[in-house]
Amino acid sequence: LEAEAAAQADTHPSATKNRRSSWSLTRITDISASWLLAGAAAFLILGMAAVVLFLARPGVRTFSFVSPANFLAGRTWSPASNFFGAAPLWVGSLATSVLATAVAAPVGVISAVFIVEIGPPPIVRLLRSAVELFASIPSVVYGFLGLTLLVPALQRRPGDTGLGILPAGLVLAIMALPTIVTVSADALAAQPRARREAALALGATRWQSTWGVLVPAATPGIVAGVIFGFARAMGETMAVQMVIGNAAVMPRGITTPAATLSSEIVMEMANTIPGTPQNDVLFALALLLLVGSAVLIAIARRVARRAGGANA
Amino acid sequence: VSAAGSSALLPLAKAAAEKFESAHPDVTVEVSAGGSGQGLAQVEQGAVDIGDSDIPPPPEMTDLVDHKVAVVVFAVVANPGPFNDKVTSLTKDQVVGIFSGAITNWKDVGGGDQPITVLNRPDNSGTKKVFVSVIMGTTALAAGTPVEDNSGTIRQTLATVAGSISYLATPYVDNTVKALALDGVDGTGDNVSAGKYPFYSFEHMFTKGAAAGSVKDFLDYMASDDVQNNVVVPAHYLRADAVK
Repeated sequence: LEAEAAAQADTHPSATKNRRSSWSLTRITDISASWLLAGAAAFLILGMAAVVLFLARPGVRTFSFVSPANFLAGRTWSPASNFFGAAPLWVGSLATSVLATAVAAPVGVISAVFIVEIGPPPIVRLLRSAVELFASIPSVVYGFLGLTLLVPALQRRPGDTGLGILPAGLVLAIMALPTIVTVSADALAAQPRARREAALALGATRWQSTWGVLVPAATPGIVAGVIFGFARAMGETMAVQMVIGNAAVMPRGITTPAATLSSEIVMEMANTIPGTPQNDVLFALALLLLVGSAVLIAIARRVARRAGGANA
Repeated sequence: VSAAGSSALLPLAKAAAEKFESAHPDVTVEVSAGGSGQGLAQVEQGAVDIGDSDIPPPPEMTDLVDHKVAVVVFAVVANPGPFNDKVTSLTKDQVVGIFSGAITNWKDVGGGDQPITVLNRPDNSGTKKVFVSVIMGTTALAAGTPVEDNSGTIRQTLATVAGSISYLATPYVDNTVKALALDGVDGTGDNVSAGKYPFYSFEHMFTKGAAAGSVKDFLDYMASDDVQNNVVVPAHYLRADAVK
């Protein structure tokens, strides 16, 4: 680019002076823009690296007093008494997220189909803004709604607390919905128009072309959306902590108090002393959560890439 | 002067800080709450001047100096209902039985037929540590009970869940829940001072080494009659010197 600019300058000697100053301005803009972009990218990468390192040091220190196997498979979580078995917590995380996804995935995918294929434009616009609104509500508000509406409704027998995996999963289902709807709707909307037209030209009804052609073709994207929704549910903390009951024991059912990785971190972090095993092990929980999310995202990306390949 | 730590102590420390600042316009007192553990760690690291805590520091923090600023009294607190109208006091053994899971119905402690739902605080909460050391001793708590990370949520749950029972600092006790006497003794200031009621603890402010300068002035002010009588007592705590 520089050489080209110089060559151009040579061919217009009369304008050299004038041009040179504007080029140098362009070059300054160019250089500063590229630095800005590189800086932003570096900031992102450094930030990620900092998060990993920050979690890794105390997290790894955990394994000086509990073996990775006992940490992952141990069924007793009571750090104050030096029992560091995290199984009740990751089982709790998985159970709430699976329940949330089981509820949110069908509703989300059907909503996405409605938005892209069926709904009349005014209703679709309304629905889209509703989804955006859902996504922007702070999680503490969801938790509060769960605590004041859902939990009392689940107190069926006297003495029931109504707290547990069921209310947590239902609150998470609502919170995972926007992710699933948005990603699925994008996957459906990205289907080439020709595919729709071909189906209709072959005499397919709207129902047949939607469910027989478009949804199957968009499946990888929809699956990616569902996985992102699952990851969203697994990382959620505040809303879960408010309705799950925070009993760090192996869940015995979906209506008894349980705990998740993230809820346990927030329960214990403030009162533990940095550098103690009780505090270190919380970082190990965070590390486990990070690894779980990374695996989920990697799977979702792989699935979505397959979608890209299929469309091309 | 900067202070950080216990959220239970925050309202007291904040009120005292405001009064102190208006008397000493050249000094600012910053008070924040992130939990007792954080308070201890931050004062040990020198990040703050004062670490607020409900719990004693771990043995390795040998250079922390304790300043007791108030006494907080706790109570065993239950959901009020017809099933426990007649129950105004539990013996220590009954409380241990309930929280260890050996006693599961109000009818076994003199009340009506109503299953007991036990609520707990997290392992590292100061309230729970005091409950375990004063009441439970070496008996293990029943596992699998709901745990709430703050006293306000415990009170709200106690008010709504039939047959529920937990323990609370008395400043949190109001008429939506029922505080029970322990071995027939109410958790009043007089009973605590007289040594008849054991379920209490001190609120601490720790400094790294001896306090000096403005920090010492502020701690002296915390211990003064002005704060003890006009801040601590109205907030339903006891004066730091209520227990010798």
